[in-house]
Amino acid sequence: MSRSLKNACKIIVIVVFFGIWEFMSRMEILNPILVPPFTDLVKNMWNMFLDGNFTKHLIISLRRAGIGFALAVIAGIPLGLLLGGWFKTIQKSLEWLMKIFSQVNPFVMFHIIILILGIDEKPKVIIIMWACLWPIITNTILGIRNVNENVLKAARCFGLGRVAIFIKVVFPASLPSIFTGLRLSAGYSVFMLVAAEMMGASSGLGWLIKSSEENFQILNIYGAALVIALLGVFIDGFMQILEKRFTGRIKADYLNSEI
Amino acid sequence: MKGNSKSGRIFTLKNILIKSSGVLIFIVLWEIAPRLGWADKQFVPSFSEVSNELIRLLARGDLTMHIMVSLWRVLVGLIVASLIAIPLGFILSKSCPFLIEILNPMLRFLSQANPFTLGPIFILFFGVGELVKVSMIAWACIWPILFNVITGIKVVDPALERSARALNISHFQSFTKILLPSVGPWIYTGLSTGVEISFFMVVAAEMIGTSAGLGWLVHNAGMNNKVVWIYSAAVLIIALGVFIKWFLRYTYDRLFFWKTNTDFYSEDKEHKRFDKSEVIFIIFMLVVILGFGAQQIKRADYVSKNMGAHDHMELYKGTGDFQ
Repeated sequence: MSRSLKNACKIIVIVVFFGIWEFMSRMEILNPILVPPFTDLVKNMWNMFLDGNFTKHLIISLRRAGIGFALAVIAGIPLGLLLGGWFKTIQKSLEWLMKIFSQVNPFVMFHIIILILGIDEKPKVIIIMWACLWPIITNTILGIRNVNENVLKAARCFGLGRVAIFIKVVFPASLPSIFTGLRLSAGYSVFMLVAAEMMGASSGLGWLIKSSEENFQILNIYGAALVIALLGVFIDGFMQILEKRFTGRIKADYLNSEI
Repeated sequence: MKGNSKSGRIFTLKNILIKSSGVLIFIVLWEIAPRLGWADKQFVPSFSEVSNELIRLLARGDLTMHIMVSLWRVLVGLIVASLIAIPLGFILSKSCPFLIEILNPMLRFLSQANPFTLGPIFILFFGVGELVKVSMIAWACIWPILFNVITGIKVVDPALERSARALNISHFQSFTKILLPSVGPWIYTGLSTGVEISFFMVVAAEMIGTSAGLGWLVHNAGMNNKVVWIYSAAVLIIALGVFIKWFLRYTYDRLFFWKTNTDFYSEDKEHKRFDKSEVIFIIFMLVVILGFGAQQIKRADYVSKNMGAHDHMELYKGTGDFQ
């Protein structure tokens, strides 16, 4: 079957899904109060969008997720590279501690973070950062560990120094694994964001859902849920494109064949 | 992995010392920082204080209910998810692989629907009982299991299948001898991802709105400004999380003993199979969680309904020992 036909089928499936939703709700097979028709939902979203009300929350949420994710990347990748690349013994001694830390549920620390940092933007950003940090560090270390030894040996034979080997061989070879971590974290950042905003915030998409729930605005709940899901899809797709752009060439050459 | 295999295999004293040094140093720092005034004693109680409190609470049996309630939710959610996802994955990819490819974008989209955002929608359908939490957890678990089953079936070695057919094996036999052993590790990976996500989620969900469970414990302690109890509940949750992770790893190594180890943390060690006693013990524990947990949930429900507005402020039901 040709590629374009397949893509057409994929789109048809999505259209059919929303079509069934619309149909079920219009024919009152499902209770239209609980499951509003899809078109009403879009209309409501569009109105909120025109108000500027929705964009405000979206931008606030995106900023929180973005800052948290960026901080995790800035801290995580260098830390992972240092621990995995140079300080093997320190990495070994920190292994168990890191295992424990990666199990620390940031929500558990929410109240303590609030005690220390106050209740403005910082706790939410820290929560997101914490959740994003561990996949990045773990995957960076994993990537460095799995660099093909033969390539390393060859590089040493050509007389490259430590730094040169690191820049020219180790770092590019661990890129695919680093990107796996980044993609996981990007997914976590949206996931955590919504929960963090539902717990304690007065703006953002998570808050929008929470307050719509309290005010029984079912259309808004569905709308926000839809936008968050779309956001997740876009972020995942974007990370995938970045991954392909940066690692497409490397994957086959350097990575250990065992993986 | 190759470079580390030599040093990793030996469990010498030096090795263990190096490995545990990070944790030990952290605990020592935690202990002395509040004592020497580096950190505010009010916000950061010392480690011994926290662990004493935790042991006291555990010994008094106040925490059993909360632990069981959380574990029950995770386990039931996981069972529901695997009952849906595993047969669905098998049926979809065995009957029409074409359908999977077409459905893929739709499934990806659904998998991105955040369980927390679906919570209010589930409440509309199921009311505010246990069903909401279980369905949220089940929703989060379905996707990793489903995607792993689909991938697992896709990567079954075709040479194995063909040689099995050449040996004139029956359908049932090829299912049990070839398909299940090859897909098993994938299913297990999906399940363990699901467990980790849902344990993570259950705590957050319980903080947002329930009357029992580990998350509630933390939230209630926070609401009542009992810093030591926040820390002890946090230590308990972390310890449980680490234990669950170790248990999943251990079970994986025993169940799929022929697989090579490519995990970040694990060293290459000899692969053993499960003893019979171990299997019985694990099944017994799962049954205990299911049965005892259900009973504890009823109890939590009863207690929270029969509490006055004042009692709600008091932690751990009726003890009320505020200073």
